[in-house]
Amino acid sequence: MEKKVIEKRMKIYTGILAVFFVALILRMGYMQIAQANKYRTLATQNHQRLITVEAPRGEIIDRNGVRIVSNKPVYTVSLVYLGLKDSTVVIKQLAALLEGEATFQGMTAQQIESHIQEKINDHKRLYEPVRVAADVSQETINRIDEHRLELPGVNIDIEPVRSYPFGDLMGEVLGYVREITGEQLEARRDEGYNMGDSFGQVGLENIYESYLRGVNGARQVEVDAQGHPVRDLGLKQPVPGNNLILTIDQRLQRVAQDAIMGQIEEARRLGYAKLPPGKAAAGAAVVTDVKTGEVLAMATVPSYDLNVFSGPLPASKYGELLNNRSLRNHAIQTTFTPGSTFKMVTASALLEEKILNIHDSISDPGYYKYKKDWKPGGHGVVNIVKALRDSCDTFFYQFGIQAGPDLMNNYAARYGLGQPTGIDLPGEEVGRVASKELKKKVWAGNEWESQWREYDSMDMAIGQQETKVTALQLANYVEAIANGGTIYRPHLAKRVISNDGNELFSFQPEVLKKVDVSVETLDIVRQGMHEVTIGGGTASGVFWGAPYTAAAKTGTAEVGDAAQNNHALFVAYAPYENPEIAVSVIIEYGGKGSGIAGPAARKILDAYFQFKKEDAQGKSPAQAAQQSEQPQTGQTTLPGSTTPPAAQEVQPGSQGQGAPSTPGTTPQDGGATSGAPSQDEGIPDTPATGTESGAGSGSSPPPGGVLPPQSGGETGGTADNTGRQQGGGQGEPPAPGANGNQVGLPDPGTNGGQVNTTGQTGTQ
Amino acid sequence: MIRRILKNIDYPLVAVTAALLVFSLINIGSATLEFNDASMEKVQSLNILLRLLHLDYQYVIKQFAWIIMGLVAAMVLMYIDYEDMSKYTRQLYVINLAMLMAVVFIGQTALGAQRWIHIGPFQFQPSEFSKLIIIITFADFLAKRQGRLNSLRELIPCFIYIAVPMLLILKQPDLGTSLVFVAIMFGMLFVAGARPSILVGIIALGVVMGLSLYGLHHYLHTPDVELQKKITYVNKALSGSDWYLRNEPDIMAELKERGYNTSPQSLNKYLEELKVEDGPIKERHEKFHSLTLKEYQMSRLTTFVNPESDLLGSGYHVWQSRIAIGSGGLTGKGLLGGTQSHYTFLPIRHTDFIFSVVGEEYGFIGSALVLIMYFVLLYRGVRIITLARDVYGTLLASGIVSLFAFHVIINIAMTAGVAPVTGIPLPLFSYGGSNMLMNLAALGVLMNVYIRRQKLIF
Repeated sequence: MEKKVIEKRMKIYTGILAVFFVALILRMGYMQIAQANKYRTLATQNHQRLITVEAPRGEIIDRNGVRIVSNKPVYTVSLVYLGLKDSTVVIKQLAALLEGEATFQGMTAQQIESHIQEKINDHKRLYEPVRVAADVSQETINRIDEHRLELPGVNIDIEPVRSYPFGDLMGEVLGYVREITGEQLEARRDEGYNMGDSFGQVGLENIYESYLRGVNGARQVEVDAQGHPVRDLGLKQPVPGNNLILTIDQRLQRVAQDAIMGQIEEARRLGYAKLPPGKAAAGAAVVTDVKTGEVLAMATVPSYDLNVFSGPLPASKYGELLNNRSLRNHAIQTTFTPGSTFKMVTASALLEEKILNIHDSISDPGYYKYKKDWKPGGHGVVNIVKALRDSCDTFFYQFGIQAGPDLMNNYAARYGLGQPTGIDLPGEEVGRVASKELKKKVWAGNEWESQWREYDSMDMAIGQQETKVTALQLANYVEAIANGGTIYRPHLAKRVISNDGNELFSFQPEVLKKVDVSVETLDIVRQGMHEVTIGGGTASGVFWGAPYTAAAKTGTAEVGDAAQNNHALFVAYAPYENPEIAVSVIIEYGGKGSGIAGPAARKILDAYFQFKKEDAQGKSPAQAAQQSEQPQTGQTTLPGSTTPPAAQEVQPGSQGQGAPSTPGTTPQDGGATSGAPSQDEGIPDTPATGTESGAGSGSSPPPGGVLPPQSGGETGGTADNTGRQQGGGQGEPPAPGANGNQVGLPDPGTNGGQVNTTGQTGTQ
Repeated sequence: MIRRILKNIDYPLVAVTAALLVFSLINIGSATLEFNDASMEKVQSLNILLRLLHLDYQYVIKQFAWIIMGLVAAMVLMYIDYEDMSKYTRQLYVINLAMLMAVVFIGQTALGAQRWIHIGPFQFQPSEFSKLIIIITFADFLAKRQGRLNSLRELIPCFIYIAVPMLLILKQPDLGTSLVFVAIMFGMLFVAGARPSILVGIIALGVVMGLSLYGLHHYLHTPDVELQKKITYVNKALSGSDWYLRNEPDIMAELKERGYNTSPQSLNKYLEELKVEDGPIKERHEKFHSLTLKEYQMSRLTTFVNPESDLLGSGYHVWQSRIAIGSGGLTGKGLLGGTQSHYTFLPIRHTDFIFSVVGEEYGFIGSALVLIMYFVLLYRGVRIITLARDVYGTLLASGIVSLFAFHVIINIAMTAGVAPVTGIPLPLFSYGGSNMLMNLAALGVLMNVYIRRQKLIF
């Protein structure tokens, strides 16, 4: 072979090599110079992770500084999704380790596996860790830690969750906090919420979400290919949410809640409540400060231990809560026929419109036309004061016809009945007041019944017919009577204190309107209400031995069901001369206004004055402030948490009412001792009205329950349906969490500002 | 004699080799270092010389031992006149085949691919040495056929000569090494004077066949995988978790189209139908793989085209390597500064993907420098080819240069994401004893040819 040939071939050979090497150098240049930034970002994403450090929500504190809602740390397990080659294997193993954890309520490892897979697939930001389980037990955490090397990408963190030292205290009023749902996230995109963030779903937690919510911090870490943190690059401290100080007095709240529970039990024990099987009675009480509109207590029964929402919530438990209507604030979301508690409205209308004056009286034979009074034989000579004192139906039948529906409706509206109170809680029901138009609507298609008849005016005058109000409206109404006609916006929040102690917001009493009723009229009404509590009044037994003066009105409203159940209502304020608080009590199926609802109100009033005395002696507020430092111990030692001495003191007084000490001659509003237990106040004889009011006052129409934000599926659907059926098409079911219809959200300006800051940090 | 050898050595070749070896050792020491705490930060604050002390010397020392052995082998091979080698080519060829057969034999008793033979405490990779042996024997084979390489018919014996050991290696299976054989063969044939048009024709044919294989596989593979996915999801749904199924709109649509719903009976029927449909499709797909490459080989070869399609699976290596190189930028992240390397994102980074570590820690400047050093090495090799005193020397040198060229180009192209991942190490650079020993031995043979370039000297 000739040298020349070889040299020529080797030139070609070298040329080919050169082409390849130049190509490779160009490729390197393209990747390392032209595209360097892209690859740098990818490398950073590979090894740097931003781990959210959840900020604790603000605490909720009662008016005396006692912590009602705080936070406790729990273990959470999360998974870093991307960069894992064998994530399915890891998930499988993790699922096996998590099997048996309370979080997964008996789910099999396979179900947990697909549950985790589902969460990961829903996860939009691939580099963020996905929380797969919260409140994981120490044992499981230990086991996961042992298998750490086989579980790349699995992180264990400690995060704060809500804790409720007082258990079931004001459950639905406070509301619960759960992971933000997809829809909520969508709706609040620009407020900096992320998947897995906590969100106040109902109650105060929902309304004050923007205050309570903290600003999440973040920890930037470097991780290796297995997702193990290698080193910390820095921590942005989370900013805890602001603390919310309530107008609620936790002790009074306890007394009110226990009193309602006790009286529901009492009604069942005495056989007044003839409940359909499987149905639990509900009840509510509202206590307000008549001078400010502050809500001192808002009891809604059945309540539930909010701690169930802090951890895993099994569907069965959720279903149970839904079924027994625990997830409903009966003080603002359930409307009841007011019964005789409405008579102050009628009285005001009669007096104001000069249809009668205080001297006008009738002789009551125990019936008027075709309607009987609750007391056979009647009340004798009756003027307006005595009519209130004895809850004389005959009197109101007669003058109710003269007043007519328009006037009574007008005065009911003046007192705020059937109107939104504007309380700072989501989902308030407005209720309604009987009117011609309403009747026409309800009875549409029935030519006879769709007309307003004389007996309708009679029914309306004693608080039957179509009128339906909430316990809060009743409290507001009594408050206005007590304070001389001022309707305040009721509110539960007193102040918002930032984490570093600055007051962000202070809620001042807000006068919604002045009741357009003259002082003279109010004086007469108050006199009537006072006489209810003394001498021969219908609630004189209830207030027997009370160390303060009071004014009250009983109410026993027909349910209109086959079992002839009655709701028990009671409104009161005290002291009579210089009113401080107003109370309304509603016991569903309670049967007797004075016998069942009355004692609950008495217990609440007694407790109020007892606490006031204690506070005045100077021991309580300081103590409470101390206890608020350690809520755990506060729970056990606080007076009034379960069986306070105050409550014991109340006991004899209230027993005295139902026990033989009350003479049988004392005419009571269908009270336990009235001797005619089956004879109920205001039951009309006319069959027509009977059926009518039956249809009208169907048992507590819940227009759409508070829907479960996290179930959203079938359970929610059914609740919604039943709600509509029972409500007879009245009103729209309130969307939970949607507080567009809410008044009373303080200062949207500050709100927005805060939201913006969090929004920025959330996306960092 | 030794003095003469030393006098006639190609010192630029020695220098570039030494530079590559030193740089390789530093990179191996860096690549094998994993950080699992904050110590990386501390190390990075040191100056470059102190950082060298923090390398992982375990692998460096091992590799250094292999380099010593390699240098000894190279010197031995330099000492023997290469002409003497040609006398034993038959025996070498037979030993080679026996060694490869032994691997196949042991491989059958062990699991899957078996490339190693254990001799006492040592394990070595016969296929590595097979490369050098085939160069030595094939050079002799071709030298005797000088001038008779102008038709396809005359080339066929050459193909068979190479094909026998190559098929044994393919059987291991080691696709990368068998491709090295092809490269060596074409390089040597070209230098030996085979008609270029035939060589180009054969290469073109090979490319066309490769592409059609790819196309055929794609055609057979896709419908089978689709059906398999459906079957898997339906099975999952039947065993209680229908989440996968619900998230596949296509499958849900097909269910509806066929009048089924998600009840178990309905799904069972659907599953039966799917299985019937999949029967023939699966069969022909499997037949394809039994006749050609295995599924995993196929996906490994093709994934570099689009690694994003399977970032967590077959595309992972390529993708992480690309990130490592690209994120190095112009000047790199510095010694021990590579996050892709030291946080273990980059797989097999001290062996096949060592160049990615270079790219990440030394950037474009470092990688271009390494490429230039390799080009210098090859250029010196090409020079030796032309200077060789006889045809056998020329062919020997051309085989060795082709061996190096193919390894370097394919390996670096692979790390840069422009060539399939075939498991070909970077010569003189990747960690691995047999490969280092063989490469240095090969350089010894190359040097041998150079030393004896002038007949008169000896």
